[in-house]
Amino acid sequence: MYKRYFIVLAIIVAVLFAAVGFGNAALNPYVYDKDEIARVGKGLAEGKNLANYDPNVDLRAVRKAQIEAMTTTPDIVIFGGSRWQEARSEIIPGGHRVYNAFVSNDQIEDMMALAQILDVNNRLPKAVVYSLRFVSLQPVADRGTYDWKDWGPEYVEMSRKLGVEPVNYPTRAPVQQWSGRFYLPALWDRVQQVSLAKHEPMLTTESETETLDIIASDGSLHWSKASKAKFTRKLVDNIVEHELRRQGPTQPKIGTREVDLLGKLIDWYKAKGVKVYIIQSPYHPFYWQEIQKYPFGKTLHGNEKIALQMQAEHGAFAFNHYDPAPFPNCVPEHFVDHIHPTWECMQDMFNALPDLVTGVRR
Amino acid sequence: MTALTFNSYLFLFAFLPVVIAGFYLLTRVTNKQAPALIWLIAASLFFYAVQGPGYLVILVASVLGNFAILWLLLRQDPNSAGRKWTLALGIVANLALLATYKYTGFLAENINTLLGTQLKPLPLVYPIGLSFYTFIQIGYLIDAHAGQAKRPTFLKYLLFGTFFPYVTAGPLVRSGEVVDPMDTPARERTGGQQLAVGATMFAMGLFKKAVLADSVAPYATSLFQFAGAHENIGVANAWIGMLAYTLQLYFDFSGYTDMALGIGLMLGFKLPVNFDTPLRATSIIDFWRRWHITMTRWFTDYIYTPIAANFMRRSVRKSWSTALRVLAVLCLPAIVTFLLVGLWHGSGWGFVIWGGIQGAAMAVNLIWREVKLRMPSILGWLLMMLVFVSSLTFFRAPTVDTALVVLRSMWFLGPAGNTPGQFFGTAKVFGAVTVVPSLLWVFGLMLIAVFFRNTQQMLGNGFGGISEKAAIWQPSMRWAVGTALVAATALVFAGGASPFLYYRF
Repeated sequence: MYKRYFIVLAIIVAVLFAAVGFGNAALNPYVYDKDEIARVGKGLAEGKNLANYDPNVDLRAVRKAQIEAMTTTPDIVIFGGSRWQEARSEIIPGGHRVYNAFVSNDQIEDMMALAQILDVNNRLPKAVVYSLRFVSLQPVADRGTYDWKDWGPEYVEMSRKLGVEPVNYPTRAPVQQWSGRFYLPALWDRVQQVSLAKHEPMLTTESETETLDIIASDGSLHWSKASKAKFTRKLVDNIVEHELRRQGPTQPKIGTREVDLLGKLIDWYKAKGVKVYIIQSPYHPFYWQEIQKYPFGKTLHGNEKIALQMQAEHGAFAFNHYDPAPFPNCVPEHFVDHIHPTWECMQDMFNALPDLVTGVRR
Repeated sequence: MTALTFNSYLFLFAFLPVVIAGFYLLTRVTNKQAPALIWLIAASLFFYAVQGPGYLVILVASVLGNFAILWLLLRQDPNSAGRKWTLALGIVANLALLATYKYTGFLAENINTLLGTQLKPLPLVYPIGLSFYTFIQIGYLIDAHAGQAKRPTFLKYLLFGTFFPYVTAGPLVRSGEVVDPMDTPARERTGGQQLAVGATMFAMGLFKKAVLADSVAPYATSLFQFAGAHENIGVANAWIGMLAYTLQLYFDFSGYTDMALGIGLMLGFKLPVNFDTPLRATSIIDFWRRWHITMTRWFTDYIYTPIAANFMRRSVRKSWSTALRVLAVLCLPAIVTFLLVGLWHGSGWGFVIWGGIQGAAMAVNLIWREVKLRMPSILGWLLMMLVFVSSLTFFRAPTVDTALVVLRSMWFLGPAGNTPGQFFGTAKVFGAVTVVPSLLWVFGLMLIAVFFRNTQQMLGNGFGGISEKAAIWQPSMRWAVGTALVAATALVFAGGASPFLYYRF
């Protein structure tokens, strides 16, 4: 009697569970399908752009696939979180080959992993741009983000090269990535998105479409016309207010272990002849002004100090540009929320920097 | 370290199946009880060690210390003064440990405010479940002193103090509920029925947590974020947000308890029921008989009853007036007890105020009952909900100031706010139908919380006095399909694991 009960129960649970897993995998090929990611990486390396419903792809996997397929080495590699997403090659002066390898929730382990991926593929650039956000140097135990675990193997390899002990396997096991595949609300959202979409995702030579967002071959993000229309001033103001309330009272820690790793990584790059820049991207003007009154502002200023410390002790080049005031285009109209500037704002910032390859001030 | 909570995939697909399989294997291949007992202890210690660095040391020290005191206490003559001193030593040591980790920050903060000093809180991280395992062990000592608990073996006590289904968030078990069953061989306490009922109960609990509680949680979070920023909320939004929090708390904690009870049952322990459809209660007395039942039982047995009995004896001896007797025997013990209940939940004035409101409401309700006044059930329910939901503002808000912002909005004393759709957001289903999810969730969950049968009523098995015959659950095909749907839905919502609310108490 109980045996039959368990068998029926187990079969139905397994079938439904697997169905959600298959559904998510089928509708998110750029997250779960290795072959598809490899194909896209190759296409991007050949100069094509990826048009997708939104930028929610496994960016780390796509970056890795593209670097593996590259036939030329970029002069500059930019690596930060999504706040760098609109840093496209044409806004960076000097006519250098630029690759923007931004991911979501960039952390020190990601910086190490990227160095490993570039190194093993012989694609170390002349200059690398890193950036610090509150999560970048947050102690592992304090983190609410887990994206960095996608690049766990590369992080471990780089740890060995730097002569440091990686965090243990239970800590870096990408459990959340595995479980995310079986998350029903994600499938529900995706089904709605796909059913309403007017165009299919594709590799393309276009750099802007009506409804599909583009991840360009230089790694940068180009919003669709439909996405741009959503970023109204009212929406952005609401997000800024919300984030001030949400983040403001918190004061995330900066980990000493993580700072030490950053120093070691910079030393490693220097030994390979790569210039390392630590550049902070501008915040929304109102957010930056208001966050000074909150504990969260102290963490941001702590990051600025770390950047200067890396300059003084390890020979990195630090440019703290959280404050948008010096840049005429870093006004509310050129932000999609509190932390993500559009390319117009980023262009102002790049214009204020020296040539990233030669280091010569313009 | 990756979290090992009841709703995490690591727990669901690795830890729990391995523990249960190992336990059944050990109880089937040998007649000895020790191997299975050691297996459960090892699993419990592993489970707790994974919760946080250094936590295990505190748990083990607490359990070993309490066992030593218990051993000493049970060796002493029942009528000796030394036995009382041993009990006192045990209680003080337990409370000192709890106070060190939980209340020094609160104490330093208040001393600094009062005296202008610069005291700093001790740099200690609060170990998950400390309040729970401290209180169950104090209970054991008191019961042993009163001759109501027998001498356990070391292994049995070790499991009692560390058992993973309840060590982090209860229920607050009594010694007899865990130690006594171990006198019966595990093989006789476990089998197909216990596995089936336990697994079904666990699935229902997981559904409550992952689907119901976590879905309504964002609305409570939004409300308190707006209140923290002193923004206009409005009456309707304040009530929707607070009802969302009430339902989140109920489904989260009762879901956790169902899971704990389900695991206990699969491993041969009938752990005590903690919830009995509390949001259907028609008075505050009724409510506290149904909400966090084991905590109410603990405070009733060890705090409320001794105080009330003491005042009762004095009132008789000294012939107090009726009014004084009512105050001393009914009101004062209730208020003192609930102030302590508030403090037990957390070290902050919000918890004290919340406890004070419960105590005051309880005192009024006791007097009401004493003078034999009557109230229609629906009015009683409404009054209970108004008091409890309002009081939860202090329980949830990070500061008393924020709680007052919400409370003023609830009671028409705040500025007007946006519509619920603007405040909590709307959703478009397939780009066609616009809905206000906050309203749908709150309304739907209230219906479930008030009108649906609770887990015990469905599963019976002796829980809450409901026999197997009275239970509607049967190991039938229909129930297997229904349970599977519940379990599968819970599993595919648990992908984005979130912590249980009661872990922090």
